[in-house]
Amino acid sequence: MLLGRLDAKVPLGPTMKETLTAASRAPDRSEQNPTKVLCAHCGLETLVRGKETWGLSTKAIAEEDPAVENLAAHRLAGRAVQDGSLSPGPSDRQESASKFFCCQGCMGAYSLIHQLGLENFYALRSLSDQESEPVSKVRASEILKDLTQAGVQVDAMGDGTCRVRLGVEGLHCAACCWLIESLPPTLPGLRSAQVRFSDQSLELIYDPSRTAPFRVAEYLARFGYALGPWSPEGAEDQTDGRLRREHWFWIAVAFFLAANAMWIGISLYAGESTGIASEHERFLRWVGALLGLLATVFPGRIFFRSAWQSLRSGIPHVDVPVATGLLVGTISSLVGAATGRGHVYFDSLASLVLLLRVGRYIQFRAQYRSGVSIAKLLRFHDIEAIRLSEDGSRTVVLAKNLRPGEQVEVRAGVTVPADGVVSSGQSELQTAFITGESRPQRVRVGDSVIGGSLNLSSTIEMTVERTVQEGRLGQISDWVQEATADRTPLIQLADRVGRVFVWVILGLAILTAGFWSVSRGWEVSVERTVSLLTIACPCALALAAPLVITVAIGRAAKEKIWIRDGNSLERLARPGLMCLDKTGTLTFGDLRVIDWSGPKELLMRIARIELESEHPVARALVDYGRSEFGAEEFDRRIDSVRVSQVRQEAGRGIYGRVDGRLIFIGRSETPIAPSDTFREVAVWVDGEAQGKFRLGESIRPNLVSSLRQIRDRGWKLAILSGDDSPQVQQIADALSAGGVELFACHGGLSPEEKMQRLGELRREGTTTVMVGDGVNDAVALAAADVGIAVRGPCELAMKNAPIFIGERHLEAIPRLLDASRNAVRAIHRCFAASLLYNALTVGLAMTGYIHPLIAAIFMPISGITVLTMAWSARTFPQRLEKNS
Amino acid sequence: MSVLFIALPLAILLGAAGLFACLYCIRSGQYDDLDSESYRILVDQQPGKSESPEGQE
Repeated sequence: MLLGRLDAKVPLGPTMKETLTAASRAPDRSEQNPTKVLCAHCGLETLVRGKETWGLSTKAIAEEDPAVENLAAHRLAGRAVQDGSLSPGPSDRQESASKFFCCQGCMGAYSLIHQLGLENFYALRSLSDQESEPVSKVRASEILKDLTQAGVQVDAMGDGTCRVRLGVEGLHCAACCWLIESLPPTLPGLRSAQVRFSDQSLELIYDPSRTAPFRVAEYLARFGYALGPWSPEGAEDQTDGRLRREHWFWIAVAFFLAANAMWIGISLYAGESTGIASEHERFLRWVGALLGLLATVFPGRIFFRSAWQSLRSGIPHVDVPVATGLLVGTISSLVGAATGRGHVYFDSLASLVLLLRVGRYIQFRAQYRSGVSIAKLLRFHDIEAIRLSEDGSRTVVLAKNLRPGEQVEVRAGVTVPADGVVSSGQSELQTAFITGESRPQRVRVGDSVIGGSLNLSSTIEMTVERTVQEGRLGQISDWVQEATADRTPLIQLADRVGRVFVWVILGLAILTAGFWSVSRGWEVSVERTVSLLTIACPCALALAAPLVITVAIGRAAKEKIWIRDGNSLERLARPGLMCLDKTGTLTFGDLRVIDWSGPKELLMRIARIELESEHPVARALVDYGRSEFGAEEFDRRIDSVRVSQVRQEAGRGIYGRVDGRLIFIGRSETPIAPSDTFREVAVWVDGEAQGKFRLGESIRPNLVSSLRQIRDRGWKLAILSGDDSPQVQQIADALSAGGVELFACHGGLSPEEKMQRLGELRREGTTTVMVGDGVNDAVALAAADVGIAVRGPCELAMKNAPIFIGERHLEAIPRLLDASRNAVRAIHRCFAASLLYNALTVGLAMTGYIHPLIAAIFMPISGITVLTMAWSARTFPQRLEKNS
Repeated sequence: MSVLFIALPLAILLGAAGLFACLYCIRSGQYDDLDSESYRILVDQQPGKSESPEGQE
């Protein structure tokens, strides 16, 4: 859907930026009033004028193109050029024949695609209408000009061509794939382009003498795809892919052996009832023995290995009883096959190995390559910086390639690429993501800035002191890794049950051996003990937990809860302590208008001026205007307001001329109190005060009720915030007024202090959960038993956290807690079923009424029961309201 | 009935051949990306256009 995205280097009018904004907001479209017209290229229903952080701000455009002073006029002119007349529709829709476009960018892409004869794109796109996460950032193809510096590996092919793998942003469906792969003949020198959907990458084979990857990137940018260096996640992906292949490999082998062993088993059982020639029986037994032996020796090997590790480390593992069963079964069956007496269980053993291998694979998929993932989100490989050389020329480089002492230009709306000192200009920085501080920080020449914070108002130049890796972010990243390494692994339910299981079976085996050797002699005794040990193999026990967890994870994803770590789900079943971050978690971290004392009609003009700014205050004022007038009326009327001479003054406010009147929105000369920087904004028209806005942090919707629900489930709540403003206490007060008492409330904590506090609270012995949104929570997220990340105001969302909640409100957390409890109960039920089967068969084996046929029948039945129970387990409760 | 002594190993050998083919597919990475291929199959080769990317430049 989100195809109207273009590369930042393409010089664009402000409308393009709005498309970008609209595209980035598309998944939230339901919040807006839908209009009837769809863009023929990107398919967006409506234009969203809300301000989002984007790589290129209006300001930056204006600087690049001094001619663009009156942005509104420019937009109108652009429209007139495009179709000869102003379109009557609301906002920026344009008509070309019978097609509608939301902007020039989409129209350009549409006509380009038609020129190239690739119209199929639109037909294909409708086949798969997937919604995808908005791409955080548009990359400049500049980076790809120097491939070595960008860290792109170039493989020289035999015939003089080169091969590179690049990351693609903006892939959504079959149409994207097809469009990109259809491009090579239209671009000289490009031999082939192969998209890989699973990791959003693109393999290019090109002739280096005729083209270069950055040309391809520039070209693709015109279609709305951004190419960049393929981040080293690829390396991890490779081991991941290798492991997955290995799993499949052994499942295939186990399946082959099990299927054949079962046929042989069937002939043997049939022969037993109808009569069979003894030489045939012996032959079949030997073939079966061979297959079963292969199954335990090759695909079954890992169970012995992990059982051995478990015995050596003393950590119980369900593989111990599994391996015992396999071992005893194999040996006794081999003896049986050799002597022609006693039972052979090869068919059961082979199918057991198959089931266990499948279970192992499911577990592998639900598992979390812990540590790596949280650290991954702190990687700032893709941050780009504009380096200023001595002669004043600018080059775009990757942040990691910056060196201390270098001069960097940081434009408004862009992430600061390194730790350093401001050398020229002044601006405001949003550091909430790094420190949790909710107020923008004013910086002047000589002030130090932290890499990863966001430049809000105007361009500054800075001297690099430390690169991101060595700076604050790198430090936090190291702590995250340490914290993850320190975590005590959860002993899974299955393993705990498995430990008890081992002892019970061992006891029963001794009992059986003792009883039968006394009453019927040792031969009978050995036979029955062996069949007991073989049959008691808790296959379903090993399968149940991973199955239930996998199913729950799948359902959670539909609820916009992404669980990467299956263990987390198990840990949430018992109530403990839940620590919440404030900025970005309890609040959105951005501002909201509480109160406006001036005339309503003025709001439209104010909003029009503020549309030109990226400042959080501006966003709050625009949103306020929209909510006061209603989105539809607002969008219709805002266009007729003509604005000129917009100028921002860092730390003071914004000027603009609307309908001939000069409006200033900002602070009076002396702020009331320094901590209240953005709490009050006044408006002057032609030097005359017209009204005041009171601003506050916007709190997450339904916050109190969600927290109450969490508390009702037995959890204690605490606030751990990096913000040391009175806001923390205000929120705590507001919560206790709403009936949610807090166990603890701390403000002004640095990331490492958060972790320490968490550790102190954890000493009380309960499960600790950390809920946070930013880098400043990352360490605590990793250190807590369960880390839950929520979608905060920042674009760099922590999607790689063990659990990520994609919804705007926190109601997902109580649902998650319920789901976790349900999942653990479902696991218990599966265990009960599995143990029941085991009790039955073990009872039969002890009394001597066992036969391999019973084992062969019971084994799959217990597996199937567990499978059905796992699937039918209702982990996520039905929601009353529709998901909107 | 002694045909069993030939038929059974033969059947297993045939099955094993299938297994090895499957293992080869897994090893060569054919199952690594199941998403793109399912999209790619929807795409018709356009007549006269990009029959072979190398041929057209």
